[in-house]
Amino acid sequence: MEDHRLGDLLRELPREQARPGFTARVLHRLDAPERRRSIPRLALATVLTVALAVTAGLLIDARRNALESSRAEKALAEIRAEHARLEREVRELSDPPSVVYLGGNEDVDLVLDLGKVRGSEGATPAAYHGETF
Amino acid sequence: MVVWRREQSHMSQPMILEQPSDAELMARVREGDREAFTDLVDRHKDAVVTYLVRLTADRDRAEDLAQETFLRLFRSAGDYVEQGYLRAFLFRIATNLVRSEERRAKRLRLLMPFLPRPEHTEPAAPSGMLRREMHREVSAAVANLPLRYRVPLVLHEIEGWTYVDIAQELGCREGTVKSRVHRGRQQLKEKLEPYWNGGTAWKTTG
Repeated sequence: MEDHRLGDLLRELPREQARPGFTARVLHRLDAPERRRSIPRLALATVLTVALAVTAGLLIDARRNALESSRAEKALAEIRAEHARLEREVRELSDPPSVVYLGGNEDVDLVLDLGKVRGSEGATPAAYHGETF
Repeated sequence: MVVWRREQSHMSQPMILEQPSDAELMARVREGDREAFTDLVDRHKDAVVTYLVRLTADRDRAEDLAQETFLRLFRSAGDYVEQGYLRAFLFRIATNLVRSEERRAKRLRLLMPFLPRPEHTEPAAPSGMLRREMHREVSAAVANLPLRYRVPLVLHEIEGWTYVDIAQELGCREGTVKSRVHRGRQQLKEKLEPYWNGGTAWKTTG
């Protein structure tokens, strides 16, 4: 289709005339309070319903998250307590004993208190000392 | 307007009463003169309705928007700056009204995508009325163009405005107007091609 033919088609469109009473209706609207644009009621109701549903969903989700969060915190506290107890036990196991049982008989038990043994002057062979017996 | 008045010598002489110009009427409208406003409405209503029918292909909607256009003219008369072409000012108000309506409708469709998109169609013509069917198809095709192509195309091809006048009215460059008119034409051709019988006549449907 050529441009000029399209132009002819457009210019052939009939000129319109305002319907009878047009001016009177304009003057009537001029005196009437300015009307508000009304959104279709169904559309408004649908939008509000969708908004409510989304809000409710977000609230439920937030509540669920809060519950899960408190459960998680409780579980974490239990794990920490268990960990502290295990640490204590491991420390106790790794700490050397403070007394050593050397031997004994029916009447006497010979026990060495390591806490009272001085480090550098600990048990040494008798030959290291000056006195002999 | 010509009024014949009898002189005492029984010789009638025509007395030509000049119509007040748009500028004179608008000056009176600014002071709240309803009669001047009525004259302006009567003078420009057909042109404004025609323009809006071309933009919307909906006669009822065009009438409603045309009424709103004149209401806005009256309410904004204080801001009107006389530039010698009131009709261009009216067309600008009308274009803005169409733009606002279409934006509102688009926002509503974004919120509710399941709403059917209104197709711009005029009521079906009686069978056998080829010319009216052609007008209906052309009107619908024009109304379905994007507004940025529709307005300059209607102003240029139908209202006979120059590219310079359209550019001034739309606040853009002349080259932009030419480009938009060209694209509008291309899109129209694509829409109307199925109805075009090899460049010679309008195809009948059914």
